[in-house]
Amino acid sequence: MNILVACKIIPDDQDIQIAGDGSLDFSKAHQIVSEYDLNAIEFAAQLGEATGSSVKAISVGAAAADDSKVKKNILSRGVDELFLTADDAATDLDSAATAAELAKLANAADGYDLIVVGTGSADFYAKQVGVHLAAKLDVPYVSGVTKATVNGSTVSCTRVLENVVENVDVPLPCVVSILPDAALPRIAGMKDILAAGKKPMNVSAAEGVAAPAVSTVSLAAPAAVDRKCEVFEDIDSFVAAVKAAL
Amino acid sequence: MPLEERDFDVVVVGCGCAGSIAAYVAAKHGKSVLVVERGEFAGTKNMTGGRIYAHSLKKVLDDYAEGEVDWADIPFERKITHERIAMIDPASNMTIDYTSEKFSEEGSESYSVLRATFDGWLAELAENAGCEIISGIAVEELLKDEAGNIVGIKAGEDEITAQVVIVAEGQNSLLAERYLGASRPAANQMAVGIKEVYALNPEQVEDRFLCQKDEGAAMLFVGDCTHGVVGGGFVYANKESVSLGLVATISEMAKANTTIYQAMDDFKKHPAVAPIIRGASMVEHSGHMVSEGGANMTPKYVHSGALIAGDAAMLCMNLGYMVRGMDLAIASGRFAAEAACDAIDAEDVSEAGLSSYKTKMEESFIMKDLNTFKAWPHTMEHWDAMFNDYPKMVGEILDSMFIVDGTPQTHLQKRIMPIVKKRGLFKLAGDVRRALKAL
Amino acid sequence: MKAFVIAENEGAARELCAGARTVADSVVLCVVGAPAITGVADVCVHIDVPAGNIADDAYLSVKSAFDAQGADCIIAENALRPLSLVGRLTAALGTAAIAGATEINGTQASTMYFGGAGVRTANAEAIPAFIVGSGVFDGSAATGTDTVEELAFQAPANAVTKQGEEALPKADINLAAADAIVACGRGFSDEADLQLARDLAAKLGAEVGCSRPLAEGVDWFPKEAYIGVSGAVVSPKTYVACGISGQMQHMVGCNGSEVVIAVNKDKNAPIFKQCDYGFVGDLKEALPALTAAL
Ligand SMILES: Cc1cc2nc3c(=O)[nH]c(=O)nc-3n(C[C@H](O)[C@H](O)[C@H](O)COP(=O)(O)OP(=O)(O)OC[C@H]3O[C@@H](n4cnc5c(N)ncnc54)[C@H](O)[C@@H]3O)c2cc1C
Ligand SMILES: Cc1cc2nc3c(=O)[nH]c(=O)nc-3n(C[C@H](O)[C@H](O)[C@H](O)COP(=O)(O)OP(=O)(O)OC[C@H]3O[C@@H](n4cnc5c(N)ncnc54)[C@H](O)[C@@H]3O)c2cc1C
Ligand SMILES: Nc1ncnc2c1ncn2[C@@H]1O[C@H](COP(=O)(O)O)[C@@H](O)[C@H]1O
Repeated sequence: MNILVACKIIPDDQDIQIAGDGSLDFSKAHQIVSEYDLNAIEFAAQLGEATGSSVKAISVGAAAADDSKVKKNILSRGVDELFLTADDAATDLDSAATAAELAKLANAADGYDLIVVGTGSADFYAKQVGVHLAAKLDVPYVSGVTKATVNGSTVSCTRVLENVVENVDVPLPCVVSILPDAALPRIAGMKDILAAGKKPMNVSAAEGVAAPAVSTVSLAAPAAVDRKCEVFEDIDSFVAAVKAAL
Repeated sequence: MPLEERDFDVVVVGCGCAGSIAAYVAAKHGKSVLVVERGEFAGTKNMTGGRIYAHSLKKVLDDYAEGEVDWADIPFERKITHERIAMIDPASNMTIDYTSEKFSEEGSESYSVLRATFDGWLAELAENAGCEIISGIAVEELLKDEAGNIVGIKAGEDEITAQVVIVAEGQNSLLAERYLGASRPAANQMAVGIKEVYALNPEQVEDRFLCQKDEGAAMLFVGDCTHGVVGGGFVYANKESVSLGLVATISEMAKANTTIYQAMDDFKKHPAVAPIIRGASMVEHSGHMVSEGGANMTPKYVHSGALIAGDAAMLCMNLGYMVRGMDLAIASGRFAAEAACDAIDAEDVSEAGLSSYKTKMEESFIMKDLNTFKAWPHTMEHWDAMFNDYPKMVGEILDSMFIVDGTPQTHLQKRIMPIVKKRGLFKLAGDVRRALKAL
Repeated sequence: MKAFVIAENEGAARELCAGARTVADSVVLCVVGAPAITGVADVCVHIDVPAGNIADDAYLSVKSAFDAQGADCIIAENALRPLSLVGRLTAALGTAAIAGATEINGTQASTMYFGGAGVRTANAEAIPAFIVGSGVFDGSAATGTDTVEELAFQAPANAVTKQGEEALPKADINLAAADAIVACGRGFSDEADLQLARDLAAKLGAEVGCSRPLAEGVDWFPKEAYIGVSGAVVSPKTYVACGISGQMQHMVGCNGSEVVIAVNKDKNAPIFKQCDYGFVGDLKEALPALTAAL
């Protein structure tokens, strides 16, 4: 069986700086794997081990995503091969265009039975790319998955929705979006990271990216909330201040 | 395990100045090199005041880069063209501003740096030379064979063997302490440093430091900045920011009735410092241990199968008005790598086989400077006056020179002598002599 | 202009339909797999889901409802099934939804970027579709007639089969209505220490909430209890954040509070720049002291 996992490479939000004019400065930001996609990778890796399947990662991002450390990071987590489109033409694509690029990679990755996506990307947190990818590939989609077992041509999933837990059988091939609870990311060891450097990394430029359906008009830091910021190191003064304020 | 079956020729622990350069030099000698860094990225956990004397890096690049590195591409912040020394007390400040064409001469120039960018660049230099770099993992153990020779490293479950391990862990090296017999420095031999970085635009930096474009100033403070505790403060002009911080001895700090944070707050509010950072927002803060340094603290740094470089070997000098360690780290990293490569080529990585590291260190500026300044930490420690009373005295003298308030004025000498006498002329002379001798 | 609203919960349907009225003159509500909701839109298209199917697979029916209604703008609830449906619908229409809209303006919407580190205004080039969380629009303003149109579920060729389901117990927590909230973060290293927060909450008449990591991975709290960009957005009079670092993703959930009090042992934690009163120190010291004094 071929398992794919879609993971997004994005700038680390801890490194985003606010410039004097209120714009966001990403120039000093390291590239990292979007936080909850690490859970998706782990989920795919465990499913791969359980079913004896190959696990390949697919990702679409800006040229900066082609970063040796982040690529090794992905491949040190039980992933066998990486397919990455890294191109500034693929920066900040909307869900439909992202899914279209991921679909190309899914096909380039030599077939797929199960595609795992994360709960949502740290930048957009739209929870849309997975379902768009399923629509593009014309396969079933389920979200909120916390458990999955493969039985022949279907995968049985437990999905935790807002008010109900559903047990469903999903015909393969399909796309499943997992919840972070489904698998906690492993801590890769030195040998894993060394081995990662030797695994195949297929990095390509974007070709024929779809015209955007959604475009960015403006992007700025939020207005700061005005707070008193009275910070105490001495408990009595703190308690007194709180008491006076409440 | 036979040498040729080891996973790597050289394993370097730590990707600071010493580690990156050691890895780079070993790779340039054609060795297989692995660097393991515990921070997520090289430089994320590293701290420095922010000024590097460029000479040792220059020599490494001259000898190894084969023209591949353009000096102008190195992410230095600003070339330091002004040295300022300030003696401050709560009420006054006397600054000496010194600038000299010599500051720009090749080999004696210095630059302000920010470690996150600079260390990132150094790590990339090593990676481009062919080193493997693993980050986000802390090495926990050094592996020894039955005879006690170091043969590799261990982190988590994984063991990786090497012909030579270069320990470049920085201050407080646990590996050197646990596996290489280095002793833990006493509290009076350690200082604590804290540093903050404030963002400004380039023109503001130049205006506030009175510098030309792309040039900068280094300011060193003694006096009230540490609440009279042994130590000093520094301010460096970066491209688009200002680094400022304090260094104070831990044992003294413990005795004083203040915290380093409080001292830092006061330092930032001092009239000599506040205007520099007015309206700027803090973008980075860190705290770190730093050894007082001096040759007396250097542990045994050549072992069978392992060498210690940089701060891990206490190659750091805290002179009260500044800390210097990056140029020593770079040079020692280079020497360690050269010694390791020679030993590997000679198929003898025993202590004797690696002993050329010691020779190189002793013949270089590193051990010579550390010896020269050997007495300084000691002098400084017993010289509290330098950090509280003398700055005040300078303030009083200058007050007596410059304040005109209608009180009838006497001759300068008459005004100054009582101020100096208060401290005891002989004591003062003695202190100055001792200090000059140590420096 | 006609808006097509996809929602399954009554509260959300009210808010979104009320919001839809502000941008469109007629509102169609599409409810899949839940009881029809009336009194909030002009038409409620109701799609019943057969026992062995999942609501997410109703996308062919939803598309035909959308086409039949001739709507020209989409607003969807931020819940997993509506998210699947709006995804399929926009994919079929060759567009994509703007998620996390906090303000809609014609074809544009303001959204959170990186969980609140930035505010992004996005423009829909084709049919505008917005995903809107709770609290953006005022549900009490919803009005509408009661026309319900039933539409048959049309299964896709490769439909998912539902083997069974189990209702989740409703968490006994109501952050939205709380006057005061004591929120716990990863600074609690031991589940037993949560009692310190509960004691303070009892004194303040507060609800106890948490940051996301305490409701996920470790399940010390139900999902309904976490506050932030992907959780509850609250605006109580008093918000006490204990052992919470103050990441944007959390803070956007409580920035509307009148007074923010923070306890954190790290002097440089970002929360101290976003609070009114802060204490640098251990929560095990601060919480009992506050409880005793108040
Ligand atoms: C407040 C202050 C101001 C200073 N100002 C200056 C100055 O202006 N100029 C100057 O030249 N010097 C200055 N120094 C000294 C200078 O910072 C050090 O001498 C220099 O950083 C030493 O470099 P290094 O490579 O030996 O160690 P470091 O730069 O500390 O690098 C050590 C690296 O090893 C990593 N590491 C540690 N343990 C492990 C492990 N077990 N496994 C894997 N990785 C590990 C660390 O994360 C780190 O990246 C200052 C120091 C302080 C504290
Ligand atoms: C797409 C996305 C969406 C997210 N949505 C949310 C969301 O809705 N809500 C949310 O909360 N998070 C959310 N997050 C996660 C968020 O980024 C942070 O990781 C999270 O808020 C951190 O929680 P924390 O402050 O409890 O933990 P930490 O960041 O680990 O902070 C713990 C704090 O406790 C302090 N501390 C430790 N011990 C003590 C002690 N004894 N006494 C006092 N203080 C102590 C520490 O100094 C530290 O500051 C989201 C992340 C992503 C990527
Ligand atoms: N550019 C991308 N590359 C790879 N995977 C992506 C990308 N964008 C989104 N995904 C996947 O789709 C999920 C949902 O993303 P989003 O719809 O942006 O919240 C993420 O958790 C990823 O698994």
